[in-house]
Amino acid sequence: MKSLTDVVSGAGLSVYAEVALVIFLIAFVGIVISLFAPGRRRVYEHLRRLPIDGDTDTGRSIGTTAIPRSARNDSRARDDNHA
Amino acid sequence: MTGPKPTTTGREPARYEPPAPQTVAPTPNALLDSFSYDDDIVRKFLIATFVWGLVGMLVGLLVAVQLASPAMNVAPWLTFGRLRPLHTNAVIFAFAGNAFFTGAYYSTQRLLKTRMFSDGLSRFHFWGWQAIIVSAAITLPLGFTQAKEYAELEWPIDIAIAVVWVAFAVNFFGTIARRRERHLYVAIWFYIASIVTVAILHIFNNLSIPAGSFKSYSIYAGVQDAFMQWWYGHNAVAFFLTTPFLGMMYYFLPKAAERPVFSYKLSILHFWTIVFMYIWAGPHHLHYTALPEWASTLGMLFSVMLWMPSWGGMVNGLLTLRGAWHKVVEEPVLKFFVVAITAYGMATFEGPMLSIKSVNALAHYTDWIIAHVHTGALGWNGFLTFGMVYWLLPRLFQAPLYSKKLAEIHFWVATFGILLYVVAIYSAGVTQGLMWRAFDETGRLAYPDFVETVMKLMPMYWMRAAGGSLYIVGMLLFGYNILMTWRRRPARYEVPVIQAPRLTKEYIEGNGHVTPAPTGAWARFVAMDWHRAWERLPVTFTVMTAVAVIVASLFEILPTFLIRSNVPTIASVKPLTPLELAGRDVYIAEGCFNCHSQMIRPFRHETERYGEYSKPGEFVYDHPFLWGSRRIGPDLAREGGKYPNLWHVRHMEDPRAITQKSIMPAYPRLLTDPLDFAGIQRRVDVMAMLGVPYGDAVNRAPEMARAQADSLAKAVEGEGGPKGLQDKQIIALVAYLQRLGRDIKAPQVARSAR
Repeated sequence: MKSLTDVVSGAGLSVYAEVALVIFLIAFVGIVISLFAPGRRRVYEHLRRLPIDGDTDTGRSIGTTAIPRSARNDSRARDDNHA
Repeated sequence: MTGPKPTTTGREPARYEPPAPQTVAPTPNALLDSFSYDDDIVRKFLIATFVWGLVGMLVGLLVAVQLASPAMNVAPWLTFGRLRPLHTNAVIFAFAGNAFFTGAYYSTQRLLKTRMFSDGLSRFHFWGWQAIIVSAAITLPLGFTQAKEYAELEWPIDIAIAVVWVAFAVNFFGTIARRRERHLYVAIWFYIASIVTVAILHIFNNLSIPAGSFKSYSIYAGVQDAFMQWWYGHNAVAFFLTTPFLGMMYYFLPKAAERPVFSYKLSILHFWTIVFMYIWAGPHHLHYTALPEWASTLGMLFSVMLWMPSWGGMVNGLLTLRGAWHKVVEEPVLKFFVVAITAYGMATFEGPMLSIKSVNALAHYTDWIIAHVHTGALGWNGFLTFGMVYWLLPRLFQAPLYSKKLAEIHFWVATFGILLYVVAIYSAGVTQGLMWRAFDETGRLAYPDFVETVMKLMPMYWMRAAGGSLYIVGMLLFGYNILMTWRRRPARYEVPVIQAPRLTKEYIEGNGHVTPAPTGAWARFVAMDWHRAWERLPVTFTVMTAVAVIVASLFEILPTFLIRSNVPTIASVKPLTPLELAGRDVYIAEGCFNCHSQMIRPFRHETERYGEYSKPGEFVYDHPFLWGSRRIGPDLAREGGKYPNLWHVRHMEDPRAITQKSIMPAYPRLLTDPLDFAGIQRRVDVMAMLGVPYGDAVNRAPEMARAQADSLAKAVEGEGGPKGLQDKQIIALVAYLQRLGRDIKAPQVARSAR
């Protein structure tokens, strides 16, 4: 470990962080370019709608209504009245 | 709004009709698979989310009350120092963790149109995770801790966490491999990044050498340990509390609002900026400490930049509701989501602000940070979870929600609770921070007695406890609603059979659409499809995410480890004696670091109060570091020699006998519990293995400890103290406290290289 420390200490790595910064910036710019490149729209639109209609559990809001407590126990019996 | 409103009359049929299985028109040359989703595992995680959430919050309330009333520290295993880590771990890993698994198991199957890879692995993940939580709930009150925030659990549990996490990862990636939807929705990206990064963080921060079945020492020391810890700590916030919940937001918000996310491009940008920036931000937890300044500046800059993607995500979430705001009025699910996203926006505005050094100088060590954390935890994580669970309940239990009204009341009670909590603790933080740095007209500290700054906070501590209680009342309503909805479940759950075509080998754009051949350089670059290829090959995508995280970590952390000038050594700093090491372990076991920092920042108001500011070279033998993050009591970095030995003995026995208004728990037990002298040898040996120059102590640590204990006990007796303390834990603790910060007072030579 000591020798490794010596080697790295002597390697003049003080610009290390700045180098990383530049690499990351370039990678990031690449991502942004590809993101806004033309010709993506159809895939993005497909993906965008995936949770809504690509998904086999239909996204309809179902029954989050309060049931009166009195009606709760016999609710099954009363189904027919309201169906 | 067009179309029928599904539920408003209050006299709806109580039986839930499961949605008719959606049949997908077969595409040419594609086989149609039939399968079903595993919702049983989702139900399990949902129940665990509630149960552990309630437990974690009740422990939170107890520790909050303990701060306002120290008499509430009723038993050794129920003292603040031991329960505070239990609260944080329970809320983060048990409540938010199970919430993440609930959301991930539900949405992943549907977004990928496949059942989870292995039901066995799903169950192993569930029961393994719950067993880990139970073991944490047992070991933390017993005083088994690594003393690193949110990584307190000792090494056997850490190994179990790694195993369970790997099982989760195998299950998750196996599911991706068997998917029937070619494109990975952005929520899946967020889940992948979370799974991969949490694994990396957990493993590297917890590297330690065992010194007993539930005792270990971090392989890193001092500055490096602090750096690793806050690299972990901050990214735990990022990849355990932020990215998983963003993934859930991007799935459940469109579901509940019944409209797609505002901008899919923005969600991708949100993802990559978060992954690229978060990993650098950790050092902002260590401003003005002994950490090299370049590192803390880097952490600050990236934290400030993080503001942009975070708000991009917030705006994307809120704008998803455009044209659906009328639904927010009548739907508690959306109310919870709106407040969750708003809290995300507030917390991610405040975070960058707190990372600015001059703001941090005031806020660090105060309750301001606690307020910030609770905006995130109660608002963002809590409310997103509540909204998601209320949305899931009728679907998972196949019965209408028991009471929408109760959910509505839950929303308002909890919102009011958050406001009360956060306002009180903001004000406590700023008040105490300003009092610490106040000077009078003669240039002396305006509040030299630390306890004065604590007493000032008492009304706010009670207000905080009231706010927290309201949040828990909301939690009880939540639990009642879950229970009653569960009771309405059908005798047997319907398991819809889903049909979807298998993925074909050759890639067909969209619904059979063929992309025209590219013309020109730009189009060819785009047609290289490298980004879209990642989506098809999540292995590559995963590797890229991991590389982004690892490379950033290495670039930031390695120089601190490997460039000597970053950690200057001080010749007069020597390892602790075996007795002092044992005392340090008592300090760790009691969780003293939860309230006392050991890091004096180079400000005049700190050096006036505590003494010379802390130097990086002072901590080279500290495995683990004990700098702390909150000063509920005063800093102890220069405690050694400040008071007589007897003062410490009396103070530990009953703090209020010394300082009437102290809120520190009493530790009379330490005056009677025996110290394990024989066990010290193994601890010294492990320290020596880690490179601490222990010299002769590696052969005769217990003898050396006994000799020092005898002479210290005599000194206590000579000061008029009780007899017979030489083999008690208190003597080791006093030896440690009296050593703190003294090495540097010897004639010192600070050198950048030995």
